[in-house]
This record gives sequence, structure tokens and C-alpha cells, in this order.
Amino acid sequence: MWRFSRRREAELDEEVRTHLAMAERDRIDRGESPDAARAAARREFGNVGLIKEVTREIWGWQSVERLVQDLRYATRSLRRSPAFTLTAILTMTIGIGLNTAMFTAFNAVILRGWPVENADTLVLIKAEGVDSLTRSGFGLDDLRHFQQQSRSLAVLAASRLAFQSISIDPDATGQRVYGQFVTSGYFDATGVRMAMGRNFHPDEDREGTPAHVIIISHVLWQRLFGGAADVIGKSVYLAKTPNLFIAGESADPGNPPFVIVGVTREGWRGGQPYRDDIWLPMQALRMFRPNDPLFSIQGTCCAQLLGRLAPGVSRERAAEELTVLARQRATRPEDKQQRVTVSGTNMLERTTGPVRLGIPLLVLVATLIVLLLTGANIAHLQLARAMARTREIRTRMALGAGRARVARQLLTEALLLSVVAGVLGMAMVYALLDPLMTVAEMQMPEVWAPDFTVFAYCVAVSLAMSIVFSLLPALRSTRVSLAHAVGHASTPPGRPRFNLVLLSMQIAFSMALLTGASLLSRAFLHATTGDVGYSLSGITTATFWPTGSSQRGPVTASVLRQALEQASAQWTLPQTALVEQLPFSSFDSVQVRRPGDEPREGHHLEVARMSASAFAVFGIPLTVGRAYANREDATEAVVNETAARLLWRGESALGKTLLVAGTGYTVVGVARDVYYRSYESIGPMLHLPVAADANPTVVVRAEGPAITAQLETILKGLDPRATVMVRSLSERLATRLRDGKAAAQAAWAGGLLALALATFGVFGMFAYVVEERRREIGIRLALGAQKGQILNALLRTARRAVLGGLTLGLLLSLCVGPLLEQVLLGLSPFDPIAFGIVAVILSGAGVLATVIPARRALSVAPAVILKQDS
Amino acid sequence: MARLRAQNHIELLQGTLDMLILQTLQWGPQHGYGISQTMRINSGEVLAVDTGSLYPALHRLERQGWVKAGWKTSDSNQRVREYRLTPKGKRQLLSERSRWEQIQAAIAGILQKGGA
Repeated sequence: MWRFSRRREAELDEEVRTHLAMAERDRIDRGESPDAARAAARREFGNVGLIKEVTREIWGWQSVERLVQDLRYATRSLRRSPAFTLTAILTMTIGIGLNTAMFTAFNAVILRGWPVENADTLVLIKAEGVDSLTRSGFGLDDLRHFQQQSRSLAVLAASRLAFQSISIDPDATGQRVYGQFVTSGYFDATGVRMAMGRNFHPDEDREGTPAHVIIISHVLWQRLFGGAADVIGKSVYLAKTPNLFIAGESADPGNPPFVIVGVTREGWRGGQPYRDDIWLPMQALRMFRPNDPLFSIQGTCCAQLLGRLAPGVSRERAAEELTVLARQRATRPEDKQQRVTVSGTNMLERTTGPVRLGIPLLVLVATLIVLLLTGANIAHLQLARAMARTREIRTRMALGAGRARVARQLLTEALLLSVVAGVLGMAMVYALLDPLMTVAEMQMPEVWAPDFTVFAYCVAVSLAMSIVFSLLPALRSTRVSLAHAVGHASTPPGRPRFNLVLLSMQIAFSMALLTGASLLSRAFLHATTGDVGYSLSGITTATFWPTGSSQRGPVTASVLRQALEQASAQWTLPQTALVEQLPFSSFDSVQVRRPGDEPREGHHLEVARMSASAFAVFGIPLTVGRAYANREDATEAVVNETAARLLWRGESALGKTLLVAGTGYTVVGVARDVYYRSYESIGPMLHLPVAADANPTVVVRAEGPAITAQLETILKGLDPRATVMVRSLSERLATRLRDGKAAAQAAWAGGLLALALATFGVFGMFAYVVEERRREIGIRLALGAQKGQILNALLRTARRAVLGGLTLGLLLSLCVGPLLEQVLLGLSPFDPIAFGIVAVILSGAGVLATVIPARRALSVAPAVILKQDS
Repeated sequence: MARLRAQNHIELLQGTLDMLILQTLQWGPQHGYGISQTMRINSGEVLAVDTGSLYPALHRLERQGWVKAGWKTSDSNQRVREYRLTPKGKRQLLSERSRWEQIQAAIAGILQKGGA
């Protein structure tokens, strides 16, 4: 193609040259002087370049040469107006990136099922009680019952979330991994093959004496063993964590090693959220969590059942059969009403009710809004540019460029823009997906990285945008009648109707998002530095996992307390306390009754078990009475003010008796209401002594390496092989607040992106307005108008959209706060500082969006503007 | 502006110019300059073919396969690009001629009626 074109070009050149030569010779033959002949021949021939151009055009216009020329021209002209180029590219990038990220996340999280073969026959089985609280799952007895009786399911298995720390070396610090305790049929049901080794044998899941075997993921195999071929048969150590949320502790040497029997195939990391790395026999759960509700609460908890439908059986039939089977086993009358649901593995199917319709609808609407906004912004930008270029385009047309050619060049420009934006957008998708998935507590399985579909979507969006919103204004600007030719009247080709509503919407939307982000950040700050009623800083915590095999017998809470008291007496150890529930961790709720209450009349209180000294260590004041006796078996209790009010109204709580799980406790003190359970609210709280056999955390009001070393020495002295984790309380709380922080970051990212879109929107619109009125501005300036007046007049156009947007945004923002109340950690949803921050950001963006184009218009000398048009 | 003129002429003469070129080539292959000269002389110096129309037209005809171009060395020892009528071009010329005659007759009819 290229060579062909080059040859033809040369031929055309020569053809024209010979034509001129012959004409010249004819004229010389007729007696003209050579100079005159040459001039006349040329005159007669006309514009050589133009004729060649027109002739070239006969030979198709898709030649490579033309494309290269257009591209070069486009690059040049885009570089000449960097503000436009940057804004347009950024707008498109954000639009494309945001949409593709949303699409990818939606696809991965909501639409896709688990990555297994024949995914449509893999089903999840759930119980639906009369109300959702009475029944949340199935127990192992249910599983057995179903396995024996069900004909509609070929394979049935159960799994339960594990959260362990794993290491190869018993002394090494472990890596935190997620995993599942599974019954032996789990891998048969999912159909996941092993890359190496084997599946669990049924007898490895023995009740009471489970085999110490483990299956690890391909990912973990790579990470922990570097993909070593001899991994089967090797041992790993798992930490025994009583608290599910502690991370990074070392492996528990007290536990026997687990032998690796299998490595799953690449790409399998369990079901959603696809982050499992280890699988253990279900019965091994007892070893880690002997009190797990799966064993203690028979029937209603807590395993997830999954199965494979028998050939030809529909989900509905399976659900009917399992409902009948479940009701057979029900003992409580309310359970006779329960239903069993059978759903596929994708999230859309697993959710029910309004959420099921809501999620896709929300994504659809959000996608459309982003598209609409991006499109509108691009349209405004392009219009402004097209207008600013009217003169250039007219000049080029006058010099011989055809309309098609001009349009094509503009299209090339638009395509170039969208290709760049498409590439950048894709980069943004990769940058966005990770945090997005983290916020959603999802991890993208490697196999689901943005794929070709998503890329195609991305490209299609960018192309559609460029064509619709760049070519249309371009075509309009080429429809300049040539009668108006070069000079004369820069009347705009019709005034575009700005979508003020769209613009307002953008402003409102970004404002609401920013308010959310601002509130979340403030909440985080508030939680870490705010007043909770006692002092959270300067406290060191030490959590201790004894092996249970020390010579002095098991290290119980009593042993621990006595050791600490001894240490306090001997050394300079400040006052210590034992706490089963640290502030803002998870709390159990117990039913308490006053003597004489009917069983149904009980009240639910949150329980915080702590030694008597804990009130002093934390600085929780007792308003009435005293702390309970400093013994584990003391049958005394402290309630907080809320609980006292709840239980005894106006009466004094002191000396009252409370029945907790059959044991009577005497209330000896009332603690002031403080934020202990959560940052948001203060509920009725019951403080009891630490249970004698508990494994409490040591807290001490002191910080620093000395205290850390001291605590470690004491605890190791009790059990040399125990695992000890000493950390400051604020550090532990920060870990717990990580999710909130991530959410705040995501909200900031979203809000700032939305703001960027809105700013570009205002910028584009304003740039258009300024460009449109450039002549008028010139005349006014020439007539002596003040720049301020003109600026004011210009701003008036944008004002309606901006004010409308801000009003709507404020209304939305006022709704955002209460919606977020759950996660605001006690911060007021109308926190003035959070709103103030948003106001500052918005005004900054507003200034940026309006001042730059306005300044550009005002800075040009009136003479220049007017001369352009004459 | 020059461009505009060239364009207008092509539009004005489009069908006609093509026919005239094909007709000119019926007597043998010729180069561009030769075609323009022949047409000028044959029209009794009335029709001066605009080069801005001639070359695009020649190339268009070539693309349509009605003429074929080739390089020849002229009598004055100069390399020239000669155009030759193809069989397909001959057929095209015939059909254009008959169309032209129809138009001519039609226009003549109108003019006679109007004139009478």
C-alpha cells in the first residue's frame, strides 16, 4: 500500500512536470520568451499542489500516508492546546476507567459463580427461618441427615471459615491465611482437582480424633514453599487463635504439625471471596475452637452446606426436598416453618429480596451516569474547541481542504484522544480494582483479572465517546458556508443547549461522595483520638497462648493473675489487669434475669469480663459502689449506668441480684457509661470477673520496650513455649479500624474522581461560554469595561448550574451522614469540620474550573480579539 | 478559492468531461497535455479544459478501468504518461454518447417549444 502510494506520487509528479514542460515548449515554439512561457504555462495549469491533491484523492483516501499525516497533524494540534488535551484525556480516562473497573468488579463479584467446572450444578444450601435470626446455617447433624436422605443431591459437603496463622517452621512468625474447615466431600462437591497429592479421605475427618492433614492452595504452595516439588508430606504449623481478629502471631508450637496431603489446582482459592489458602478436616476445628457454635449449638449453626445436584434435578426440586427433610428434624416449633433455599454460586443468585434487583440496577445506573457525565463533559469541551478553531478550519478549507478531509482530521484527533484515554483508563482499572476489591473484602482471583471482554468494553466506550461527541461538533463546524469565508462574522453555528441539569447533577454527586469520604476520615480520626470516656492511649496489651503442657499445670487466668501480682510486688511493674474482651472487639451477649423474672422476660446485656483492677487500668470510673472482688470465682458484678437504668429504672442497682446462665451475681458497683463495646453507642453492659479457665489478655497502663520485655519475661516464665504477643492497645485498635480507613480511602478516591469529572464539566462549559463571547469580551474591553464586571457576567452563566448543583449536593450530603451513621464510630453525621473540608475542596475546584478560561479570555488584548474577526 | 473553482468545474462537467476524454482517446493513446490540446483544437478553441479537472478525471477513469495508463517516450524524447482506451472504456463511451444524445434531444425539444 505504502510503496504503491509512493510510486503513484512520483508518477503524478512526473506527469505534471511533463505537462508543464510540453506546454512551455509549445509556447516557446509559438515565439514566447522562455520566462514568459514558463510563467504562462504555470498560470494556465493552476495550483499545482491543489490539483495533485485532488487527483490523489481519486485514489482512495485510506492510504497509510494520509493516516500518518493526519496522526502527525493531530498530535501537533493537540500539543498546541495542552489544557484542552489534558482535560479531555483525563475526563475520558476517568469515565472509561471508572466504568471498566465497575464493570469488572460487578462481573467478578456479582455475576460470576465460583470458578469450578459445571458451575451450574454446584449449589449452596441455606436455611431460611421464619425470621433470619432463628436460623442461619446448618449443623453437622443436618448434613448427615441430608446426606442419608436426599436424592436430589449427588454430593453434599459442609465448610466453615477458618482464620489461622500458618508457618512452616514452629518458631517462625506465621503468615495469616484464610481457609476452611471442610467435610471430606468438599472437593468432590466442588470438583476441584489437586495439582499434587490427594483429597481428604473420609476417615480423616473422624469425630474426636481428626487426622492432622491439610490441603493448601497453589498460591500458598508457591508463597510458602516456592513451588517445591516435594511439598507433599511436609508439615506446617497453625496457630491456635482464640480471637479471630488477631493477625500476625507466630505459629502455636503447642499444636501438632499438620501434614500436607494435597495442593489444589492453580486458580482455586475457595468460593467467594476467593481468598482461601488452607483446607482442614472439619473435626480439626475442635482443636482450634473447642467452643465453636458448630459443636455447641446443634442444628442451627454454622456450617455452609454445598452440594452437586443429581443429574436432571432442578434447584427448585432440591430445595423442596431439603425443606421437607429439614422440617422432619426440627424440634422447636418455629423451625417447623423453616424453608431451605438452594442457589447457584454467583452472588446475584445467593442474595434474595430487593437487594437482588437492586445491585445490578445500581451498577447499571451508576455506569450510565458516569457515561452520561463523561459524554456531556467531552461534548462541552469539544464544542468549545471546535468554536475556537472555527477560524483555523475555515482557513484550511479555503486553502483547499475538503469538508470530508477536515472532518477526518478532527476524527483522527478524537480517536487519538480516546486511544490514549483508553490505555490510561485501562491502567486506571488495574490501579482501582485492587483497592475496590479490598474494600469489598474481595480478592480478585488471579484468573479473573480484567479480561478481553472488559478491554473490548473499554475500547468500545472510548470509541463511541469520541465519535459521538467529537465528530458531531466537528462536522457542525465544517458546515461553515464558504460565503462567510475567511474573515467575517464569527457567529457561532448555533448555540448548544448546555445540559445544566447534568452539570448540577455532577456537582451534587461529587459533593455527596466527598462528604461521605470526609465524614469517614473524620470518623477514623475521631475514633483514634476522640473521647470515649476513659483513656485508650498508653496501654500495653499482652496476649498469651499457653501450650497447656507446662510442668505447673495449665496456665489459667488465676495463675496468670497471681504471677502478675507477684511481679508487681517484686518489681516496678505498674498495675496490671486481665481482660477477656478488649475495647471495641467482639462481645458476647448474655441473657440476664432478675430474681422473679419469667424466663422470657430476660434482658440482653453485653458482657465484658475483666479483672477488678481493669477499671483502674482503663480509667473507667465507678459512679456508685466498688469493683468486684479480685478473684475469678467472685459472684459479684458491675453494670454500667445504662444497664442499671434498664434493669432497675430509678432504684439503686447496688445489692441487687442478677441471674446469668443460672449463676447469681450481686451487683456491687455501677460504672459510668463509656464507649467500651463500640465507638457509636453505649449499650447496657455487664462486667464480670474473668473466668477461671479463660485465656485473657494482660493490660497494663505503661508503654515502651521495657514494659514489653518485662511482660514477655513474666509470661514466658509461666510457660516457656507459649506464644506471646505484646502490642500497644492503640496499635491493635488501628488494625481493627483498617477497614474503616480503607472505606474512607475508597470514598475519597471516588469522590475526587467525581469531583474531577464535575470540574472538567464546569471547565468545559465555561471555556465554551468564554470562547463564544470572546468577541463580545473584546468589544467590551475596548469600550473600557472593567475586567471584574466582565468576569461577573461570564460567571453568571455557570452560576445557575453550580448553585443548583451545590444545593442538591448539600441535600444529598445531609442524607449521606445518617446513612453512614453505622460506620461513623460515633461521629456526628453533620460534623461541621467534615462539611467544611468539602466546602474548601469544592471552592478550590470551582476556582480552577472557571478562573483559567476566564483569565485566558481577559488576558488577550482587545485589539487582537477584534482583529481576528475583521 | 482555487480549490472551489476546480471543484465546481468538475461538478459542472463531470459526465461530459469524462465522455469527451474517452472520445478523444478513441483515435489513439495520448498523454494529458495532448488530450487537453486536442480537445481545445477540436472544439474550435472554445473549450479550454481546466487541468484541475483533467487530471483528476483521467485518474478517475483509470481507476474505473475505462482507460489504461502507461509510460512511453515521446517524439521529443520525453517520458510521458499515455492513456489508452480499454474495451470497457469503449463500451462506456458508447453508452455515454447515447445518453448525451438523449439529453441533447430533450433539451432541444424544450428549447424549440419555448422558442416557438
